[in-house]
Amino acid sequence: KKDTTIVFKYANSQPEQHPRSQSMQFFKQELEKRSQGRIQVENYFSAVLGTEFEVQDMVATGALQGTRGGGFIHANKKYYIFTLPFIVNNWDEALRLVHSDFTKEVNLEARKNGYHIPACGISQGFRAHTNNRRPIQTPDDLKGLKMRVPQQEVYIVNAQALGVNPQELPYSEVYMALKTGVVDGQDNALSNIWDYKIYEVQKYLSLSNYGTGPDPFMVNLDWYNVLSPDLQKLFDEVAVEAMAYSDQLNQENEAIYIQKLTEKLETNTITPENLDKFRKATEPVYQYFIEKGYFSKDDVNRAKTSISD
Amino acid sequence: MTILLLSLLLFLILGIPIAYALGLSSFGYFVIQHPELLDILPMRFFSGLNLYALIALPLFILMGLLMNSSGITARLIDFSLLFVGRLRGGLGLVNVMASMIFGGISGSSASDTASIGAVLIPEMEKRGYPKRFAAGITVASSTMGMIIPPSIPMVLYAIIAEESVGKLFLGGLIPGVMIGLFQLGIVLIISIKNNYPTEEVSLTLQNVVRQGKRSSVALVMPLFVVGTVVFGVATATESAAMGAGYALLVGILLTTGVARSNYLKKTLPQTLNSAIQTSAKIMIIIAMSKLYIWVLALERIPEAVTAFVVAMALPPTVMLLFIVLIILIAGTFIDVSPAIMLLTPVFLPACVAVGISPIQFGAILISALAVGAVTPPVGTCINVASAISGLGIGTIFKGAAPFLLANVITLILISIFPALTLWIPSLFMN
Amino acid sequence: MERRLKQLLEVLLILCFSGILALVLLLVVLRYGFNTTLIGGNEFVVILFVYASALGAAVVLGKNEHISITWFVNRLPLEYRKYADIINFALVGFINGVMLVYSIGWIATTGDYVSAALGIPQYFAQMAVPLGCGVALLYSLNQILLTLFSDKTYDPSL
Ligand code: NA
Ligand code: NA
Repeated sequence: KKDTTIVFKYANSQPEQHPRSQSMQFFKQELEKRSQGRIQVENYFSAVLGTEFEVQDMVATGALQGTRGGGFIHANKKYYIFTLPFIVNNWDEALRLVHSDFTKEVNLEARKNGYHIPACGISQGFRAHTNNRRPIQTPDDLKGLKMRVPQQEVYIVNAQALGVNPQELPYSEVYMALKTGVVDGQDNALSNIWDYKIYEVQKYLSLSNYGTGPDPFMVNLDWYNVLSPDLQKLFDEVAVEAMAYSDQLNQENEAIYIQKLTEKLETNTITPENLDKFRKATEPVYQYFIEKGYFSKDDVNRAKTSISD
Repeated sequence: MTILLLSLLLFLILGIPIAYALGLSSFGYFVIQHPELLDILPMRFFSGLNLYALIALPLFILMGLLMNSSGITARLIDFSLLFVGRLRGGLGLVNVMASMIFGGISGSSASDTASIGAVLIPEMEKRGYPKRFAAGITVASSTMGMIIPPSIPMVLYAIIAEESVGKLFLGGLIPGVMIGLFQLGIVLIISIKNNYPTEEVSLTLQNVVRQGKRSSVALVMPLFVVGTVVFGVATATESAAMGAGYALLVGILLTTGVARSNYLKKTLPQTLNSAIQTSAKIMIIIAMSKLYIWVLALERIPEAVTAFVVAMALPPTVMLLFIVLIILIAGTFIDVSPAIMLLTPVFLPACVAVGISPIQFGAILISALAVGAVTPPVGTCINVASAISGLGIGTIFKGAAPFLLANVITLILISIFPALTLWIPSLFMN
Repeated sequence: MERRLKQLLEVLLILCFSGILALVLLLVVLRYGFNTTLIGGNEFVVILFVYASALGAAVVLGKNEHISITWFVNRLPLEYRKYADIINFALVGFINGVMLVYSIGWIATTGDYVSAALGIPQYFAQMAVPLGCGVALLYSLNQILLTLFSDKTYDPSL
């Protein structure tokens, strides 16, 4: 095409008012303004172009140019480290991790798989457990509960380590399954527990900050390589700002969600000494993925060191 | 965009199967407008087949076929006839009542058409009803499947609209029952006019008890499917499998000797084969329509429509009726779930802006799309009915049209009177 | 030859569908009877469903039983009806061929992505597209040949 404007087609699953989409609107405004219209950003939200995994395929083949979502493992398996239980314990640690040199290396390694990743943020926030049986104080409280787990390896292995009866259900069936009692509970980011009305069909909310996830901004590498060096620099600059904005929105929202959910659900925060019991119980999860070759023990140690720096 | 619509029309007129017509016109669009996006074709096709929620489809079709071949259906119908059989068009009334009850079991209209249609269309034909009438009332009454709670489409809407699923379910109760009652009336009127058969029913205590006993295996069936969902034993998909498993078991228990070995060696494989092929006819349409919908989303057609509607600045009720009209038209071309995904973000903001409740809009959207599911060219229910009855979808639609009047009247009423959709939710949920 | 293919495909369809039914039921039994589940069970059910649908659509095409609007072509004189049918099957074969060709690049690029629960490469599932569309293409060609060289008379009620 001889056209002078370059189009960047981007898609994600979340609705327009979600922090992820909001930060991409910011990205569009800023990049179009600062590049003086040389790059045009076309955002598609609410999964109108496909689910997270379908859109991932489209970015891989170059039909679309960018996405953010659950398909990050295809950019680099090491992003799984960010999802490990208790790899970080709070927002401060989470932000230090995503801004660390370790994360920058993980971003760079994704080039091998055809992705350019200018920045990585934290996906939504921390996960929490909800259920209809009892407040979760210790790992023993989870034993034998029928818990819905997302169809992803880390959550399944994690659930098994904690002794729950894991049940895989697609998202669309979760509400009904919780309402009728096909499953007793589930775990999810607080924003999802609110947005998807899970609180309507649950009694207890237990906050442990046990896990979160990465939110790499995944761009088709071939597309990026065609940009002139000055546009590449500008693209990366705005992407870093957009991801920082996303993290800020997510962190602010999480506090609000906790407050709103506390009014709807009997909420407990797990004590530090009980958290140690959870850490101990979920250690096998680390080992499981190291043995599978997703990352090395050294990678985990470097991730942990980067937090304490 | 115009290419897309016109070429689809041309291909359909040529008699090309609907699935492939959708695929061809989308291909034409990509070649002309976005040759760099041709990679999308196989991806979208695949995503249209890769749908967990639709596994219930062949399972419910199988359940219906097994109920037929094992004799469950015949016993169930005999029993239902005790109640309405003496009225004109008794089996038509049974069809509507069955859908009202089934609507409270399943969350989907397609499964309603599949299971009740597989049972009642042949039965009605046998007793002298025109096949068109039988298929028509089957699809028209199956619209209740996704309006009467529970409802898979309402869960989808609730997620996109960020609204309470519980409230939406309750909001669908009155519209769903209204449609059922109106349709019962229409069946009666048409049946009296055409002198459709009444059924010979002996209402002696002896006969009632005898029929009750005979049909007990059958009566357990809906209880079994409802029960597993209500008591939290299984999800909707699982209950479809359990229903099919139950029908299979009954078939084995009701036969003996040679008949049983025939049932297992011949009838069962044939039934499995026929159920999965019927389901494939529908799945291929869904898969190809995924391409079409992708183009609509890419071209941001929904956004353009919103801007247009908002710019007209109509009073809320008039605007709502206007939106109902658009949803009805859109619903004829787009299938239910994708239509919810496309239309909710389009119209809900406009509605909320003028003070219309998202619960009321949800009930209206789902009720209107239910009509779309039974209108050609793209409608899952009418396709299911066509696959079951062997009739063309145009013929079935002609048969269904009088009953869809009930849906349209209900749609107008729930658009004008918000209380019809908001009263029950307000009773039960703060 | 053609009959063999159809038999083989129908056996595959029955196996896929029986597998779906059995697995869904097994998952319920495991949940209550044994307090556990098969990891990736649902994912496998969906893969079976994708194959059943893709191959099923091809078989249905072989029987010329797909859902279509035949109101217009039914009103054509018989000799024109023949040409309409040939054009239709050519177009149906063409779109299936398009799917087949473009699926190769897609699978080559993303086929090694592992699935979320089973952890198997997604080409296992993706292969259903070229397979199903390939068989559908064969059936379309076969239908064209049948229409061209057979003296079958047209029954307008079909
Ligand atoms: Na329902
Ligand atoms: Na019905």
